[in-house]
Amino acid sequence: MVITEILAAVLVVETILLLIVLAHREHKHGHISAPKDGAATQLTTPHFTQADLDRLNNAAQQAFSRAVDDGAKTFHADLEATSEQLNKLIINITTDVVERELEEYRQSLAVARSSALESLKKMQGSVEQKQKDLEADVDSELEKRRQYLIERLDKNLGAAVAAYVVESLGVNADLGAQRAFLLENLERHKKDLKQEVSDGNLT
Amino acid sequence: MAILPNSIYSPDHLRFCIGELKSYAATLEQRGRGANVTLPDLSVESSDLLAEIKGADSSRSDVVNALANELERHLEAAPSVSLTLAATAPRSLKMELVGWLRSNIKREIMVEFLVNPDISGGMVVRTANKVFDCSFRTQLLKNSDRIVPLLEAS
Repeated sequence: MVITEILAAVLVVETILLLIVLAHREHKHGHISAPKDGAATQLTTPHFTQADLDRLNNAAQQAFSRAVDDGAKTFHADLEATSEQLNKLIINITTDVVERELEEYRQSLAVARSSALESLKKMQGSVEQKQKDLEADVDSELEKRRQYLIERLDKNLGAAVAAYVVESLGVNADLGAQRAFLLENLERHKKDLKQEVSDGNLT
Repeated sequence: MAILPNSIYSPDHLRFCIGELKSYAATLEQRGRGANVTLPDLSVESSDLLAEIKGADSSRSDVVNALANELERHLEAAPSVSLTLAATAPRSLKMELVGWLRSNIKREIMVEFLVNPDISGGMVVRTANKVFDCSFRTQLLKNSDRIVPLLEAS
């Protein structure tokens, strides 16, 4: 709109200048000469004096200046308004964009946080489960080891005690005290000994 | 033959007695031929054997030789067992064990006494084909599985 007004002002000024130029020419060259063939229509333009020309010139210049000033003022006001609107628009857009981006960022942050918490929970659950499994395994292994040691102890304790007793008895066995035991054992194996000897087995 | 006295129980001892008797018989023969030889001293067991000869003159070499030969035959034919004890048994115990074996198993049985301290006590009786292990060691080890229940019960 501002540009239109400026163009309109420029047109007016150009028209005035054209009139001035024409008037000037008229002043210089007099009236328009009739066509040579005689059938002429003579146009007589009014005489413009120098003062008129100066006046018109001034008026044109002033009108031009005024138009330009008006146009400039209008342009400036429009520009300011437009600039303000643009600023506002930019600010709004920027704010919107930033807010949108921030919102998106917050959302993605929330999603990431939630996902991380979820993973952490899962990991914690997995670790706890693993810990339980390990504890169960360790308990089981300990129990197996305990049973193994108990069995070994049961198995070897007797032999160890027997070995201890045998070692403790040493070589100082009192055979006189064993007399009854020896005869009792011979009596116990009497039948087998008889069988062996009567079968004709000789050492 | 007269019953072999319990004092002669081991094959080695009987061999020794046989050797003594043969040597005695040889000396008797030399004396019979007029040699001036001294009769060897016989061990108690060999003397007992000579004394057991009934109805014959034990001063004759052929009689003594016959006895020695009979004892040799006895040695070859008699069954034998070995008794392993934890220590050297006193003579009285040996006599008692030999007496039991000859009374209950076979009159002619020969007994060899062996010593093995590892058995700790009791005895191991061996025949040609069997072993009768009555040693303390074997008894203890055989019943070692009883120790834990006994400990638990106490």
